[in-house]
Amino acid sequence: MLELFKEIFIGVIYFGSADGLRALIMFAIAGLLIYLAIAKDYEPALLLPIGFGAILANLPPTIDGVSAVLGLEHEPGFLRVLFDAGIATELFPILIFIAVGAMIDFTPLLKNPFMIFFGAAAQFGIFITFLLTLVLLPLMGITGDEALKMAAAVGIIGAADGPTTIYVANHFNLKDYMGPISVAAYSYMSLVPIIQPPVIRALTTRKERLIRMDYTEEKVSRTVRILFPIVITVIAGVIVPMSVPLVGSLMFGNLIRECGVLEKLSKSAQNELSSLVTILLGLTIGSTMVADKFIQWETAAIMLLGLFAFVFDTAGGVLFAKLLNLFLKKKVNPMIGAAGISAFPMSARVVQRMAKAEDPTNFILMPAISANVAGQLGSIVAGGLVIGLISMLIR
Amino acid sequence: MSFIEQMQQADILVQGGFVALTGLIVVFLVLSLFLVTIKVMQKLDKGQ
Repeated sequence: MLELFKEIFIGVIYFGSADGLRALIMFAIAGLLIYLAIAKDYEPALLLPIGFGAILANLPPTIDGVSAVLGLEHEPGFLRVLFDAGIATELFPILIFIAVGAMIDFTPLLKNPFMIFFGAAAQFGIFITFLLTLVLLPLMGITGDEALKMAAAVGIIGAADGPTTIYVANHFNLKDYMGPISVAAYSYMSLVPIIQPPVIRALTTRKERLIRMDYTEEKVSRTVRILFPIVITVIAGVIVPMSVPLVGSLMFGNLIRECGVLEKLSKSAQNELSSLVTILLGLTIGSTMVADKFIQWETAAIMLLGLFAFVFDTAGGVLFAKLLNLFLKKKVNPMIGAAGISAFPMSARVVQRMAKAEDPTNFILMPAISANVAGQLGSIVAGGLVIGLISMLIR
Repeated sequence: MSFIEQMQQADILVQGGFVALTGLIVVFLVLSLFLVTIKVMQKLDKGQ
């Protein structure tokens, strides 16, 4: 009778155990993500599925002590099936990039190609965070090749690009850290309007923030817009082969958009494909947030270092713009540098809002958009490079 | 931390420094190449 009672109320009894208490903490974290998504509108398309996935993964185990949604290696639950099919194979991030490519209009960058340098400078945070993580990891007992892999995955949070972050973390087989790394990437992306302004203000004077920038309304022909994704893919493939899955899928999506004869496919990639993969990606990432893997000091360290990466990306872009101004006759507004991160179009909007706050007639949105689009390219090239360089070292 | 462990850690940091510096430089180089490509494509297009 007692055994039957135990079996029926196994879930209730579970919450009285130490594991159960940890699961309750995870419910609170998942609840916070869902709250931020719904009440604050912070990246709702991802934070909500991630939060719900975390709830699913932390529900009490079944009679056999196995999570119903995760299952076992040989008898997987639906979330493990999704993980194995979409994350372990790197398929979901790639599909997301096709959708993103179909959504991005590279015309502002093609009109103002000089802005591409800001897309490179704003990747500074990735590399400085990578180094800082390498210094800190031995304190947590992580050394050797593991430290290099982990530092790479943490540094790449600074790409401000969720799919690239997941792609790199998965490439180095860091499944246990996938949850905190993805949550850090997506949370900070949604917090760009809060993170960037104080950094920009600290590094610029009012006079610099008032600098006006001309925007040339040069026409970009359809031929150039079609050739751009093809040529960029080939160049990336030759110079940084590890970035090809990311660059190639982004550029394929863009080619569908720009070719002008595949409007239906382009719309499908922008809407149906994007929505479907986002749901699956979010749920699956959430499912990696299992209590015993998530509630540890490493998670707090990853969140902190991720923030550090975002701050230094912003600082890198702004300082690079200031450096350029030492040599340029026609100065650029250094705030543009901060828009070189991949968080599109949020970062460009933040910069425009700050320029408008200083001078309501100053309009720097278009150069900022150009830098922001360049950031998309910069982040995936940096992601590919990090994979290539680290793989070379740990071979 | 033993002397050997300290040396290993120093080695990892040197490797990390190499990755960080090379990475940043190559990102700039690749994006510069993209810039040149865009410029060439636009020139060719205008020439037509």
